[in-house]
Amino acid sequence: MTRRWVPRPSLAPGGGLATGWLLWTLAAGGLAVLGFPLAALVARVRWAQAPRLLTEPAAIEALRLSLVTSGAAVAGALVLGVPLAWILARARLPGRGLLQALVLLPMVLPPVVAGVGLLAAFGRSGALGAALQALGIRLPFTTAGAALAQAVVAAPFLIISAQAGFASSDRGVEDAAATLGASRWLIWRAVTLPAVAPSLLGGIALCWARALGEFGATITFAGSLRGRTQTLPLAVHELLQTDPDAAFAVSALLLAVSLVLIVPLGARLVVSARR
Amino acid sequence: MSGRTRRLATATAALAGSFLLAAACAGAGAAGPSEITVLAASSLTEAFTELAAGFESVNPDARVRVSFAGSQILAAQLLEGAPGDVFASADTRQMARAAEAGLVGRPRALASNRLVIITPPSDPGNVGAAVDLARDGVAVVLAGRAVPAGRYARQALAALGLEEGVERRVVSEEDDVKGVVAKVALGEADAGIVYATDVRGVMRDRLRTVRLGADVAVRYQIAATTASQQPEIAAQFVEFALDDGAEILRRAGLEGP
Repeated sequence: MTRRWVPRPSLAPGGGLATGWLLWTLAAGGLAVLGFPLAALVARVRWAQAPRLLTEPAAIEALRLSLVTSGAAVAGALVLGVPLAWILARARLPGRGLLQALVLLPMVLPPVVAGVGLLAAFGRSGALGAALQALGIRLPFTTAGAALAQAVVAAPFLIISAQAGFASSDRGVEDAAATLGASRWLIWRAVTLPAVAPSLLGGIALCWARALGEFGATITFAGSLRGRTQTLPLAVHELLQTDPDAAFAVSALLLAVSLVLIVPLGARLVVSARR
Repeated sequence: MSGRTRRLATATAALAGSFLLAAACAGAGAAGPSEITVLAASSLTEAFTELAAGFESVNPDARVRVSFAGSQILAAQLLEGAPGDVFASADTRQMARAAEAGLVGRPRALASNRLVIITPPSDPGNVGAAVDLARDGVAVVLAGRAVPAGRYARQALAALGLEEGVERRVVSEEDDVKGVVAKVALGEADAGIVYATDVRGVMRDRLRTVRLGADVAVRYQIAATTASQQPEIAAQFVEFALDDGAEILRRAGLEGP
């Protein structure tokens, strides 16, 4: 099939020329609404000052903290989320629909609500507050708390992606390997993992991007303190009040990172649409 | 087109149409003929909610919307061109930011306030005086350095010789003073520094107050904006706040300018 980027009026639902152009116009409008703010953001950055603004201690500390917390959030999501994805894809359990909804919920939940939930659970006066305190663990206002907030909000992106991978991978090959006497670990390593690797990588990218961008749950649960819980989005929020030029520069940095993380996924969508 | 697709298309169109209609209504309602928007410091929440009601009761045709946030946020919003008719700042610095950009008229002294230490009622940090805020293990929440409440708090701590010691105990810096109130009232932080007026109403039972022991001049200023679409009502509101409405501000715990 040849690549076509010219408008094809025949693509319209009704097939008529007029509705075809309406479709394209509305689609262009949609693209403009999504893209224009980002373009305007990039245009607003004072590039001559950007290197200085991005190397200010506040920005550097926020960047370091964002890498640490989002890395921890993705690692946590992998360790706890992949087994959950496997169960959701392969196991027969009662109430799986409910379980599935629960796993998806953070994707649509307002992040501030996730933060309030974390406070209710792990805050000092929360359900587990006394127990955690007895163990000497403190989560609110700590870097670990910021990572936890990110993990809760971002993990579903990894889980659904991995789940789709497990669901679509060929179990026949796994069964054949088992018949040939392969151990469960060998089957997982040599058969299952390579089969789900693309989905898993896509899920990691999405999860990481979401964790990097987390704001509402973090500020609600972990507060904002430079070097400890003030991640890049929280730094943008504060800089906008005091140093807008720096806020625009850091925003552009976050935009660039998000772009790098999402482009491979976009490419995959385009490829599968062409098939 | 199958019947199902057609129904789906109709439903989508209806949904999109209702969004557009809602947006149109919202747009029409935003700028009523005699409505003003007052951008007021977070710490004025109780006082200005009452003040707006008082103004509306003597000017039945006027409607007042009040937007509360940290004064540094409101100043930044004005600088970015946000619509507002009156600006009430918790310090002279944020008012000066707006004034230097030509965004507000002459600032007038509105009121003053005092700082206090707050703790949860159970006092988990065992805070009896300002010096306890610097003690190891005490979790302190302050407003950020750009926030008037945060700046005043640091001035007071510096006057007490406690600034560095307390800074090490700070676990979060909030956007506005109400953020400090919330973190302490929830019991997540051991102590915070807020205004005396913040410990009123529903918060009275949720907070314990400790004397700070340092006097910092907390000065509120008010001014009408130069870009106001309702300059007369904006000017009337400013006059009301300084004159007949002053009694409302006193009742909310604010002191004279």
